Amino acid sequence: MLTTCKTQKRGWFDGYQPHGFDECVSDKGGVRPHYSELVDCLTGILPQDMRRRQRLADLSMRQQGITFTVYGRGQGLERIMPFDPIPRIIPSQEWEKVERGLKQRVRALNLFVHDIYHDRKVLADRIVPPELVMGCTSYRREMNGIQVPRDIYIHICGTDLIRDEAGNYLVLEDNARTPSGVSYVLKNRQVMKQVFSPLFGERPIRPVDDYPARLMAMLRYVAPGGETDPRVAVLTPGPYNSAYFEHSFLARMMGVELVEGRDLLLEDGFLHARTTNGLKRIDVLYRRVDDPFLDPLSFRQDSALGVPGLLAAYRSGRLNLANGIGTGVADDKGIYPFVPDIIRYYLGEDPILANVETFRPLEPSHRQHILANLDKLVVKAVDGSGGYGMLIGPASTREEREDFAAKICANPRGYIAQPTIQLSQHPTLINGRLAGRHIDLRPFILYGEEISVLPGGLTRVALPEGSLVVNSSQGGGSKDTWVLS
Amino acid sequence: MLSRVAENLFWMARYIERADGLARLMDQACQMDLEVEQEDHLGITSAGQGPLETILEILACREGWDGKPLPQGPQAAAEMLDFLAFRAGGGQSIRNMISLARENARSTQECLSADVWNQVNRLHLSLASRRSELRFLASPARFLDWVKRSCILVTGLVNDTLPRDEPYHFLQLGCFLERIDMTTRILAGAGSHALLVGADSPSDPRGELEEVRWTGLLKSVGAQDAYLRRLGGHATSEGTLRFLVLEQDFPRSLRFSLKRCLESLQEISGAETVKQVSEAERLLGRLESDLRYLEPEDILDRGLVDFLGQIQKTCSQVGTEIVREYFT
Repeated sequence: MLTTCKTQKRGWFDGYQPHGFDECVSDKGGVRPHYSELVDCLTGILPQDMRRRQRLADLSMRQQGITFTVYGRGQGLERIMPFDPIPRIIPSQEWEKVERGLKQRVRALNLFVHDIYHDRKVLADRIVPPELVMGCTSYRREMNGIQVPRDIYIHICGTDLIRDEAGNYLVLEDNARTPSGVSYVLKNRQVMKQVFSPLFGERPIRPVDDYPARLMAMLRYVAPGGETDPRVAVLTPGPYNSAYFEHSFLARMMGVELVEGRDLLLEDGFLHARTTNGLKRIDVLYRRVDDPFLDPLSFRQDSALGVPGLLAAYRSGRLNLANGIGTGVADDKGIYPFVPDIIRYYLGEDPILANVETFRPLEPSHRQHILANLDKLVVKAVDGSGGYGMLIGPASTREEREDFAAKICANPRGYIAQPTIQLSQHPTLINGRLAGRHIDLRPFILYGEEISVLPGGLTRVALPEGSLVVNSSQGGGSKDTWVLS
Repeated sequence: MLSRVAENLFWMARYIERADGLARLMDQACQMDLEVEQEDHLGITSAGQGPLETILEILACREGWDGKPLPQGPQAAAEMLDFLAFRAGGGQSIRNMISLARENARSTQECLSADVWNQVNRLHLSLASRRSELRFLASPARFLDWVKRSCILVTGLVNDTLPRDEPYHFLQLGCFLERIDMTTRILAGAGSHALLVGADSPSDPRGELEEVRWTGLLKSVGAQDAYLRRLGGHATSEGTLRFLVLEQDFPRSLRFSLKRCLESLQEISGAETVKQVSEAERLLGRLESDLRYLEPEDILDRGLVDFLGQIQKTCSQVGTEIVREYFT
C-alpha cells in the first residue's frame, strides 16, 4: 500500500523509513485506518504550501509570545517550541483505556501520598522500603499529620507515556509536582485550526478548550474550610521562568490574578495580595513554584520567590495549595518501580498501564546488571527532570559511562536504569518531506470533585533523526494531539 | 488589582507614549534639518543647536551621549538619529523604550487583552531585529511613521478592547502623564531658544524664524492641522500656547491631558467626598483649575520656562504620590 502512497500522495511518503512502532504506518506498510483521512487531506497540499504555513505558524507563536526560556546559553534567551503540523491521532477506544489507566494511577498515587504523611501503612506492610521514602529529597516531614482539603494532594498530574515496539502504552514517569506544557496543548490546537485548517477532515476531534474552566472548577472545589466563593490565584516565579508564558496564559484563561512572591504577605494567618485597594485575601494558590522555594522560613532561606509564613497558613488550613506540598514522593524515580504494587495495594486492581522495566542499583543483582550493561541502558538521576542528568547508553562515550558507573556506586539511591526503549515514531515534517521521528505523550489529569483527563495531551517529538530525547530544553518540538470521538 | 501589575501597566503606557513622542520629534527634526541646511539665512543654526541636539536635551540625555562630545560633520545627524532610534539605553531610544514597554506588558498579560499584548510584542520583535535598522536607513521618515502608527495601534487597541476598569485607568494615567511631561519638555526646549528672539528682534525682522519654529513645534506633536483649523493663519507663540497648553478639546494639549489623568485617578480612587481625595488628585485638580482661567499673555508674563518648570514639578510630585498610594 505504501507504493500507492508514493504515486498518489504527491511523494509525501517518499523515502519514509518505518522503524520500530510507527503511529501512522503499519508493519505491512499501509496507512493505519485512523490516519487515512489525514493522509488524504495531506495529498491535496503541496510541500511548499506546507512550508509556508509552517512559517506562518512559527510567526504566530512568536508574536503571541508563546516562548520558553533556555538556560545555560546566556540570560533570557526566548525560544519558541518548534511546532510540527502533522497531528498525532489516537482512536477513541485506545484513548479510553489510556484514560482509565491514568485515573487509576493518579488515584493510587494520591492515596500513597496521604498514607506517607499519615499512617504509613504502605511502609509497615513492606510494600515500599521506608528508607526509599524517607531518603527521598522531596519528602517533606513538615507535612506529617497535616489534613489537606478533601484529602487531595495531586491536583494536577502530567504523566509521561511512551509506546514500546508492540505499541503498548507504558508510563515513563509521573509528574506530580508542577507539570508544565498544557498551554502548548491549547495553543497548538488553536494554531492548527488557524493555519492548517485543510488537514482537518470530517471526523470529529475531541476539544481541549475547556481545560482552564475545569482547572478553575477544581481549584474552587479544593478551597479550604468550605469557602463558597474562594479567591484563586496563580503563583509564578516570574517572567524569567522558562514556563512563564504558561503561567500567564492559565491565569488569563481562568480570569484570576497571576501573582509573584513579592506580591504576597501573611496577615492574621491568612495569605494576602498587595493590591491598589489594600490587602486582598487569597484562598487557593495554583502554585508553579517548587516546594523548596515556597517559604524561606521553612525551606530554602535564600528563596526570593516565596512568601515567609506561607507554610504555616497552609498547615493551619487557611490556605490551600495545588499541588500540595510533598507530592514529590509520588513521582520520585526511586519510588517509580513500586507504583504497580502501590496500585494493587490501595485499589486492589491490576495496573491498566504498565511501567517500563526498571533496575535499581540499591539491589546488588540489579547493580551488577546495570554496570555490565551501561551501553544498553538509560540511566536517570532520581531527582533529575527535563532531560538533565541522564545517560543514554547506546549514544554515550566510554568516559560518560565510566563517570556514571562511579556516580552509581557512590550513590546507588540516586539512580535508576531502564532498557533503551525505542519510543514510537510518527511522520513529521522535515525539510518539506515526511520523516519518522520519536514521540512521547504527556496527558494532563485533574483531580477535583472527580478525576478528569484532558483528551490527548502534549505530544513531544524529538526532531533530530534517531534522537530519543523529546524535552523542549533539549531541542524537542511538539504536535497537536487528536483524540477521535 | 495587584499593585505590581498596576505599576507595570502604568509604565507600559508611559513607554509607548514616550516612543510615540520621540518618533514625532525625530521625524520633525529630520525635516527641519533639511531646511536648516537649505535656509541658513534664517539663522536657526546661529541659535547654537540643531533640532536633533534639542531632542537630546529634551530627553535629558545630551550628557549621556555615550560620554562623548556630540558628533560633528556631515555624519553627525545620521549618528544622532541612529543613537535615538536604536542605541541609547536607559529608556532613551525608541528600541529601548519599546523593549521596556514590552517587559512591563509581559508580566501583566492577564490584565491586558491578547490583542494589546500581541501588538506590543510584535512591535518589540520588529524593533529588536536587524531588519528594522535597514528599514530605518532606507527611509527614516517612513520608519518613524511606522513607529507612530504602531504605537497608536496599541493605544487604539487599549481603547477598543479593554473594559473601563482599573487596568484601563492605570494605562490612561501613564499615557497622559507622560504626554504632559513630554509636551512641557518640548515647549520648554523650543521656548527657551525661540522666545529669546522676539517677533520684533533685529535678527528676525519678518518674524519668519518665529513662525518656522512654532510651526515645527506644532508639527512635532501632531497639532499643526488642528491648529490651523481652529486658530487659522500663522503660528505664533500666543497661539501655540493657547493651543498646546490651554485648549480643552485638543487631545495633545496640557489641559486635556491633565483632565484625563484626573478622571482616571478619580475612577481608581473611587473617592466620593472631598476628605477621601488623594494627594495626587488634589495636586492635579489644582493645576487643572489654574489652567482653566489663564490666558497666553499670563503665561508669558510669568515666564514660559518657569511656568513649564512648575508643571513639571507638579507632575513629578503626582508621580511620587501615585507610587506611594498604589504601587507600594
